[in-house]
Amino acid sequence: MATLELHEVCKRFGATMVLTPTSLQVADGEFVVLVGPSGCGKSTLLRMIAGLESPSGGEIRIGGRCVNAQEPSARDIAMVFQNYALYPHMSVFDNLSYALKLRKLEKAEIARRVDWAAELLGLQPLLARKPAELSGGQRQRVAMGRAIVREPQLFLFDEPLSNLDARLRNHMRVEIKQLHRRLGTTTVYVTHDQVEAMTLAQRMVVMNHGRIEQVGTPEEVYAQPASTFVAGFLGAPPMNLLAARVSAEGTHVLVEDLAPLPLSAPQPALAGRAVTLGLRPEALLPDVDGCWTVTLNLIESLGGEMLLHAGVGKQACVLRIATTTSPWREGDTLRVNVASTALHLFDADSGQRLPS
Amino acid sequence: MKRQWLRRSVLLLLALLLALPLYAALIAASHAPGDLLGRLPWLPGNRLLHNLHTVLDAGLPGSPSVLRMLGNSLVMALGIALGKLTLATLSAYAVVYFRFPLRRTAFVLILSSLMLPLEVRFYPTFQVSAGLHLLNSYGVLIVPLIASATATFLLRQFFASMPPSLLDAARMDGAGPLQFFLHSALPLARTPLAALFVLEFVYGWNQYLWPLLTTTDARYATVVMGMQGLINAGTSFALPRWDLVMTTALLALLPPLLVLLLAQRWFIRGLTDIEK
Amino acid sequence: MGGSRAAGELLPGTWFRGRWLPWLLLAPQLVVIGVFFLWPTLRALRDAFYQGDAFGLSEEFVGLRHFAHTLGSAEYGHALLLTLAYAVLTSALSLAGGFALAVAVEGLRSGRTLFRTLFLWPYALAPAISAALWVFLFRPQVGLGAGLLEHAGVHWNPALQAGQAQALVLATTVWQLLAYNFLFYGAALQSLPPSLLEAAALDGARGWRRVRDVIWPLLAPTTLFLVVTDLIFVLFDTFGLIDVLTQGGPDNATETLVYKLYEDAFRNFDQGAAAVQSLLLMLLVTVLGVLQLRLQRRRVPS
Repeated sequence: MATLELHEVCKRFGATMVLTPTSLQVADGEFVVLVGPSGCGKSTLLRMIAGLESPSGGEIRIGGRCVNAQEPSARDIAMVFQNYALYPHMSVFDNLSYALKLRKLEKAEIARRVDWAAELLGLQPLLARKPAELSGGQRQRVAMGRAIVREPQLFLFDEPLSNLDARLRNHMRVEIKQLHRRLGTTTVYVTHDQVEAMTLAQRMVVMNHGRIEQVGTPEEVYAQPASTFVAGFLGAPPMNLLAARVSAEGTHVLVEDLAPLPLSAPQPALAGRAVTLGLRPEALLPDVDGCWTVTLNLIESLGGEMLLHAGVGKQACVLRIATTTSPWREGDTLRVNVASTALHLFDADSGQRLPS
Repeated sequence: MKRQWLRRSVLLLLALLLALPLYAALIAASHAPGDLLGRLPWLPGNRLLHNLHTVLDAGLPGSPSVLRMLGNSLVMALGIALGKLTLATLSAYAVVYFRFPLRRTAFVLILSSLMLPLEVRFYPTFQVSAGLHLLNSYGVLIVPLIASATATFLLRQFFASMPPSLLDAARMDGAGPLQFFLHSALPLARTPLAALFVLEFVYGWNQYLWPLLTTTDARYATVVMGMQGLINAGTSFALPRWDLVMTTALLALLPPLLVLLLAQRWFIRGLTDIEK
Repeated sequence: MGGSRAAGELLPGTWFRGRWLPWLLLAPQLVVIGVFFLWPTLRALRDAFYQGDAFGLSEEFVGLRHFAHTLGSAEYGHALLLTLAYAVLTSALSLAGGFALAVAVEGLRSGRTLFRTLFLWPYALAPAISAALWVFLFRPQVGLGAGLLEHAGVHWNPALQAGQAQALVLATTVWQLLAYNFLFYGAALQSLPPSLLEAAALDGARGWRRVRDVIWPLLAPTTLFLVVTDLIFVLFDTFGLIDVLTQGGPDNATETLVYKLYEDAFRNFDQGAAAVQSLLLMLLVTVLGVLQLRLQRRRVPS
């Protein structure tokens, strides 16, 4: 059973705590994505799972066994690096087979595995070439092939697509997803790209400043972000965050200069409280009878949809409208409606989610 | 266009002028000694092969066998070059890829040898070598010269410039320190090693002071160190044998020159690039 | 198990942890340095303060007597000044020549590689061999150069005339060092961004003016580095050259610091003086060596 358990794992560099005590459970065969901005600790966490760094505290268990003291090669895991880390002086075949050679596998078995991985990833015509002769996408596949031939119980990916151009990235994302479906190996995948995270993850771990902000399926995390950070991190354009206040009765949320928005359920506990109101760009719908009046400052047309940058009172927000032509012009005022179910409330200071 | 041709002609002239000492030696080496008295001939003669034969067979009267000296020079140069590279590679690898107490001290210690070139410490080092009964051997010609801060420093910089993820990947693959050294670090260091080999071979071959001091036995004399003695021997006759002396000089300068010319391209690159 | 980079470390991210293996790898070099570098240095440090008797059987502590005696002597002062003048002249001439050649060669549109080889080859020669070639070239009665000088009215006899011996040594050294300076100036010129030179050309600086106003100042770091390197060469790598050319004569006219050290050690058997001079040279080379390391980093303009 290739499960992964992290118990209060933390990492300190000198006096700086780079990763606060973190716990996580990954089920056998699950594809988990660690996502967050640079410096949030996701790579550090991955490297500790790999054994390339030792934790300052806590325990890491793979398949039920504590691996804290084990060398990377003893943990039965394989890793795909951001810059591929292929041996430049070895051919593709030798790159794929190096780990197996070190383990003294039989030649026939090595050939079998390399053939199998090469076929899976379309590398057969490239086996005699050196990495310098390959394109970025090909090198990426060799890096993945090197991980696959090991037939490990855990795959680790460290931002593998960030060095590829956008088009290749989309293509490789699909390949990785298909590979996981095919092989079913437990996978921990690190990225700063929320699109990769949303599309690949069975479960997402959103991290910031060395701590986990939220764990959940992509749908859960998108629909119910646990903090303003998570809310602002996922989705493009990000969720609009407006300074607001809950009404004295706890029934409405008030944004300065604008009509009160009714909450889906009264929240007497929050009465009068200063909050941050979160509204997804697609939640603001133009409606002739809309409750809010906003001024259009800028219109961005993306072909199949439009982004409207508008002023709401003294604050700004972005609307996303699925339309190809706009009846509006910059400078127009516009009335919009917001469904009460589309309201997200966060504490104005801590950013933590509040019931709404 | 015309300026380029003018420039090229001038440069060519300068190059030829600078090559004059070499050319004069060539003329001397290819004539009979009698032809060299009075005015020097302008063109090379036809006795080069004959002189080579004489020098390599009989040598100069009153001096050790030139063939033997050339052999000793080769042994010394190869010994020094290979010795320096081996020691420097091992040291650089240890310092870059390991963490251990006093690591920095060890590196500083090695760097400190930069402050002690041979010319500065030759007398006490001679005393130490004499005390160890090392004089008059290949050992004394080679060993005191094979610590090299420059080579260690350059290789250290090279190893440090390799992407760290390569080591990560090797560790994940299960490679231990020696395996990583043999399978990856060493093969990838081919270019700087080749450049350094050229540098150190030339350095080793061209040693003068140290072999002069430490070999009184003619069996261990090297050809560069023996130059003054050869000139004395050659000119001690009524008919000075500049032909033979210059033939020997040409033989003495040929190996490092060849090595430099053959390796010129990546030698220059290695010397000036890697130092950055 | 190994580990990874701590914030601020300059070395690569990961490493092996080892107790004895790294020391095993370092051992050969450290042993050689210990036995043939450090131990002799300590010996020299000690010998500088002691005086042995004629038979080498006993010693007495003499404090700074050797220092006073050696440094105060006229010969030492002479050797010092001579070496200094020698170094400065050699450096200046080699720099100028190397720079001029490098600019000329790098400015060629084609054939650069050929010309680089043509000016680089003396680098491979041992100074002693260069000296052998020049000894022959300027040997009175025999040498081509000697003949030309006589023809021009000069009574050429470097074995007797101090000034001529010095000129000969200077010429040979510059000839040798030219290649080295040429090499480094060439590399520095290659690394200059072409856009910079094009901008200068657009501003109206061409040819000689561009060299003087743009290229020479840009190459100042290289010049500084080469000055120190040339100094080090003249001080420490010219023993063979002098031994073959003039043997320090006539009358110590070409006796540099290192040559004097050699004479005191192996001709005069003056252990104390040798020790003192060794120490002073060590000090000198340390200062120059550190300078050279510092300058090396900024050698190529960026």
